[in-house]
Amino acid sequence: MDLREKVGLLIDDMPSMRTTVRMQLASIGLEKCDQASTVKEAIDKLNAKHYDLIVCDYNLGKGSDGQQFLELVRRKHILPMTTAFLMITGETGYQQVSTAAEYSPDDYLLKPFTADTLGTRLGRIFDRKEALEPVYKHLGAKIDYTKALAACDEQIAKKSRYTLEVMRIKGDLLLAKGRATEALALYESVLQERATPWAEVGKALALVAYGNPDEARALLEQALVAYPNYLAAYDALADLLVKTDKFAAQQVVDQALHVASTTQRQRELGALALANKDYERAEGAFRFAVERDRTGFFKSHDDYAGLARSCVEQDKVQEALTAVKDMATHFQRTPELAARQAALESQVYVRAGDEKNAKAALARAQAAQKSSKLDLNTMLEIAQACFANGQPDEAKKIVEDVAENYQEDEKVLDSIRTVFEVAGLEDEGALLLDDTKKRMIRLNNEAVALAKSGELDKAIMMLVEAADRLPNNAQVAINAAQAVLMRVQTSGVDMTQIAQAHRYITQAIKANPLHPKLDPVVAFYRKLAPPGARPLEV
Amino acid sequence: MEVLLAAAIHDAKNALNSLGVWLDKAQLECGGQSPALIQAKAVTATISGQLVELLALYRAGEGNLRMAVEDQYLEDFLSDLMAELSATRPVEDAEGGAARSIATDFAAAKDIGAWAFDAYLVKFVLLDALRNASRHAREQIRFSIAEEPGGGIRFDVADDGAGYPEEILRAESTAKMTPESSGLGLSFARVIAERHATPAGRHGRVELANDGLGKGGARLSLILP
Repeated sequence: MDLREKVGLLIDDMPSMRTTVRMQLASIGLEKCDQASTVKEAIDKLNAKHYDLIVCDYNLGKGSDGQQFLELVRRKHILPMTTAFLMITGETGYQQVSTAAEYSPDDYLLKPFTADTLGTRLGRIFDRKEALEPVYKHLGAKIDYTKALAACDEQIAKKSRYTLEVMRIKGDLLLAKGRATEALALYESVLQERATPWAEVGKALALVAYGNPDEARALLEQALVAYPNYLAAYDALADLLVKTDKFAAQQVVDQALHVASTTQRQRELGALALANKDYERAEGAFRFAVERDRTGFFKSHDDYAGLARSCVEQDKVQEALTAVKDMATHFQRTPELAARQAALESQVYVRAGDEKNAKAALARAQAAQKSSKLDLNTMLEIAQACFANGQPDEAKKIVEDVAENYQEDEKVLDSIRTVFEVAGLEDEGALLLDDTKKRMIRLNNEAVALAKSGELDKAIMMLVEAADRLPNNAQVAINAAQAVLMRVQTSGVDMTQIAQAHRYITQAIKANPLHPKLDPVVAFYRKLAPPGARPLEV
Repeated sequence: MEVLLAAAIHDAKNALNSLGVWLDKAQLECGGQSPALIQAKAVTATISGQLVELLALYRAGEGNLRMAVEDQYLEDFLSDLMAELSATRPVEDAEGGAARSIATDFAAAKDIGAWAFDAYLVKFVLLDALRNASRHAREQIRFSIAEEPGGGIRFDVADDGAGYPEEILRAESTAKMTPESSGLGLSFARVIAERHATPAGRHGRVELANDGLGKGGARLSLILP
């Protein structure tokens, strides 16, 4: 393996280690190698330049580690799958690296190692990257599922040594597309040949998608007996339980934290503990999340909000206000941040009986809401503050809008339920969500009925209005595109209408790239769009 | 205690690592082949392995042994293992005879492809077994891998020495102290084998028998589910 043409990035907070590894890399031919000592520096370098290889130490200091870094850059697509990632760990870090759920390094190397060993391992990684390039190239920020799956099948047919790896990728793709039956068959065929943890978890996820959560739960519990350190199994089990039994889910996340304590898991534990009214545990979890990470890269506004809420619920007013104030450390001072802080602060003051300050803070939050576009969690925080300040109508207006926008996102709907629960209005919340759901179904049904009875233009008007109002509702956008395309089909090509359809399909892709109704409408567009029309990037 | 013991072992391992670096340097300074230095490196590697085993056993006893079970390409695993072994093997045995050569049969590795286990811990089990065989063999050692009927893989380490003493063969579950061995390696091997399990409830195991090479040579088999 010729490493002379490869460009590497070495990440380690210890200068002496950087020097040593840099020399080892040079001795095996990798001369072009940049260095970074912090997560920030590494991300800046990754944004500026393409690298073939990242060599990263597990321990990066300041409460950050290589696994968090890897998850961050892979999730945000700063690091393409075609770039190799080698993690260097001590003897105690390797279990946490290798059993991490979604994002694992291409290989890891235990200290101490020789230049020869480093060379051998890098050679193997690059061989594999090269062999699987036809698959990896479709797994970018926008995953082309059809092409990626076809590439997987081609590789599997070749019966190369990487078949197992390709099966694993194919399973993930099938699950993402909701093709449960095929995924189940794939995992079962793997497990027939060998016992391996990832296929157990994959099978359980396929069973969930298949509508068999009880069997999935039993399978995961059994898998954890055999593989008590396999973090992916804990994550899958917690995800499953969260829908039916939040107490059990909290227990599972707690167990996973004993295996590997990460900011992400502490955050999850905090959220579950809040839902379970276990405020002391919630405070501990969120405190861990905000205090451990001293780089600011891995925590979010939500962690401070969670901390403030768990303090308020225990009547720790001063601590809650401190958490709200600390929220500004490490983050850019955006209108969003200011609104979130004000909404939280207002709730703390309500609890402390300080009506004047509570109203003033809420007014600031509402002003921000009018002047800028705020994210989902900030909107819900303002709704919560409205409830706390005795403005239920204002609160419901916000919540209704969110519910219509995120009609198909169970997680968001669950957050809405929590808002009502905290406000002590559980039943009203259920009612509102039910009404919203019915309203959205009615809208779609009415539009379809109009179209069928020949009043296509009326249908288009209804759907277009709704799609413009609800940019995050994929179903509405798909129906709007569908109606516009039907008009094109009956009345002939009109480039304005083609462009309109393009816009709504793109809006739907952005809202939910995996929506099951997306493929047919994309095909419909491609059939009708004349040469020269904008192609769809799916 | 755990923290203290772990820290002490960790420090000792680091010290051994830097000793290894110094030995390499000394080797360079004396222009390559110093049998005494090679011997010293082999001893360093053995102690280092024993520390890993000791710590793992201690953690297992405390319920804190963590394993990373994941797919390993067997060909790669075995090639790494043999490279590490040959880098840390003595040139001669305790009586001054030449070190025994190891015949390998890895044909099945390619057919099996990958298997899920903790490569780090299993590597130490096998290194220990191979070093042990080197000490006891008359002339030959055989190291092979095969598919285990009924599911699983099997590593066999066989030699043509005098075989295991009767009391070790009888004491299936507990390792016995003998003049040559503290029993650490065997205890470690058994714990690591046992901790490898499948959701169906199958566990790994260690087999000892005197049906190795020659007339009643020792055989150690590690079977992983």
